[in-house]
Amino acid sequence: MKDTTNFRCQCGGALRHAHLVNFDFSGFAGIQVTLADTPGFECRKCGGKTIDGGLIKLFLALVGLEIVRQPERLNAEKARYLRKQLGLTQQQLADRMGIDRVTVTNWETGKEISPQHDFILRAFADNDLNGGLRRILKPAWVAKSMTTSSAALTSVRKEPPTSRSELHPLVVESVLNKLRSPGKSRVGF
Amino acid sequence: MPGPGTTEEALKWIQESVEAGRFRTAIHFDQRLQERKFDMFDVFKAIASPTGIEPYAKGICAHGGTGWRVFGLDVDGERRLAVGVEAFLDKHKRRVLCCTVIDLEKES
Repeated sequence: MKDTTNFRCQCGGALRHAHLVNFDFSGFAGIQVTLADTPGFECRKCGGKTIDGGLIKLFLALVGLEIVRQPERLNAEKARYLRKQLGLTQQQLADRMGIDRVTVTNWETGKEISPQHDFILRAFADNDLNGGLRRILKPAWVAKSMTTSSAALTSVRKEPPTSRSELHPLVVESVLNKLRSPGKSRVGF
Repeated sequence: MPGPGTTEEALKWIQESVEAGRFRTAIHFDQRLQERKFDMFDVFKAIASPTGIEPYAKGICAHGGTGWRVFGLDVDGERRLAVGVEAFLDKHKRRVLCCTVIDLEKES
């Protein structure tokens, strides 16, 4: 991989390619996410770090996929994340689900989501992510991921939501391994 | 590395680049998002469905392109924001650097 880039930091320093360890993705996602090891950029002068826009889109989709797969019921921040990923206001989501907006507001302010609504919201998100990831990744890999994701949707979740907001890095890791394979690292800026 | 010269051209340039993933965020852009309680979904929404765009130089053009402020609403449709970007050409490809995000509710 070429070390230097044509791009500059606001401080005037040149950006170089770098592997970022434990990169805090929370600011982009609006939910607590740490990327264990990701390709990115580091400023030679100030040491600031950032990642490519294509990867930001990919990781946002993967975080949504991971939320859909998690066994416990959605908590407030995860329900909100899936709604925002769908690009819907609370009212628009309520209309799509045939429920009142207040119900959506309640989920996002800490009231427990019902198992049925949990299922429907995940199904909407899963369908949306399916299309989104197909635009980013190779169809065969997406098909495999989506089979797993759909399997996770087959049961209504009875467990109450948890406050756990740290997302499991396994999905992110598997994609990064794909990207690190020779000839597949086409996501660089 | 010149950038677009008119608002119409700039908006098309910015929207196509962000849609295709040909963009990068400035260092600390994510911190600005957190401070102002936005996330990338709000940025994407504002750029995809803008309410306005205006030239915005303010020293953001590190790549010889042109600077713009894209105005829009967050995903919830409740808060107005502006995204400061540099649109520039790199190796014949149109690219965008997202420099900052501004909370217009607090600014006004």
